[in-house]
Amino acid sequence: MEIIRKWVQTIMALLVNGSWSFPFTRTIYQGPLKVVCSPGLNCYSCPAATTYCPIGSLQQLMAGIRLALENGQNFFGLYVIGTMGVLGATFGRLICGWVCPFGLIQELLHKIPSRKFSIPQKLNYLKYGFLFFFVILLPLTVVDDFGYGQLWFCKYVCPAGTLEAGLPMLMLQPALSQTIGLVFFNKLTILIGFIIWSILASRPFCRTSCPLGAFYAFFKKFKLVKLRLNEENCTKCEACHPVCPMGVKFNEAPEDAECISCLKCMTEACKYDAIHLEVAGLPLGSQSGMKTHRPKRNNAAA
Amino acid sequence: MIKSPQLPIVLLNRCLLGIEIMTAARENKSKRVCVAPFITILIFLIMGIVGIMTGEVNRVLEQAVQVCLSCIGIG
Repeated sequence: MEIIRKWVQTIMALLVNGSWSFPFTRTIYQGPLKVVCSPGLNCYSCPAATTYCPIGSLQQLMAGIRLALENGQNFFGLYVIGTMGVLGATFGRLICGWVCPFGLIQELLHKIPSRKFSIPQKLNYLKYGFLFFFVILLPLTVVDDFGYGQLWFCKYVCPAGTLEAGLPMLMLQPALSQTIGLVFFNKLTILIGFIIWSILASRPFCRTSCPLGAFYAFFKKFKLVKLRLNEENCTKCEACHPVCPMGVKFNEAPEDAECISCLKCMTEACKYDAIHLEVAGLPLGSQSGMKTHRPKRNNAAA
Repeated sequence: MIKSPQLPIVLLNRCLLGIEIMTAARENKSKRVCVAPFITILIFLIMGIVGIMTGEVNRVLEQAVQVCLSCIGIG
């Protein structure tokens, strides 16, 4: 299953970054596919990006809401929020585990042999702050003389933007290097920090800072596709704890907002058919159909 | 052969039994299929359609085809 997931992640990363004419054009893709929402975090200023980044677009719309209203355009971000909501209500954070290119990069970095560390649970709440303040509130309220706000998350934080767009654009257009300043070096430091952190800990950006992951996390109870715990079969052996890349203790919190439905707990850890995938409450891909049901382990023996 | 005085009672019993079976089936079905995700999807789908109708798609496209250098920390 893990091989299939890696293939899906790779194919999706190539699909949302499918324009490879940039070495010749020296700029970004400008075709009509850019009205399609990228399900994962993928900067639309990346030269190869074929889709728009929902977080970038949402900030753009929030930042320009005053100007749009003055011009009689009722742009409240409904198209972007609607698209994100449909994706979130269907898949939730499964997108983080199966589709997001930046998630794939972090997973590959984590494979570099080193001492591994856990991430304190309290840091998980930071991403909700980034979503609320950096993506919505600050672009909406802190405006210049013309009434236009800034893209706070893209400009000051997003390491995916630096990696996928900032650095490639500097390579494609070397003249831009004369314009880089403190903001770019600040973002470069954040990127390097997350690269090192990704080697040492599993998916640190997804867990602590990703506003898109925070948005999808709101659908933990209402999403169509989710993992379900069969408490009757669960022996509380805790085999699902160490395999989870997001630090979820699935048998204790099956509806944890951090679960990215990577299915590692279901396919690699649980031997008692206690975890299954369900669509709208109907079981799908239950292990009962794939391997023999084993009797409940004796707690005394455990 | 059912005698005529007993016929209404038998029919009533059968009707009640039918209603009981249908109610049980409906309860069973509601336990299995979760409707909340579909309602949530529908709400966001309507939001998206409203956004399309207000012309927000063109605005998104305009923004997405331009390189926002200050957005990526350059310039």
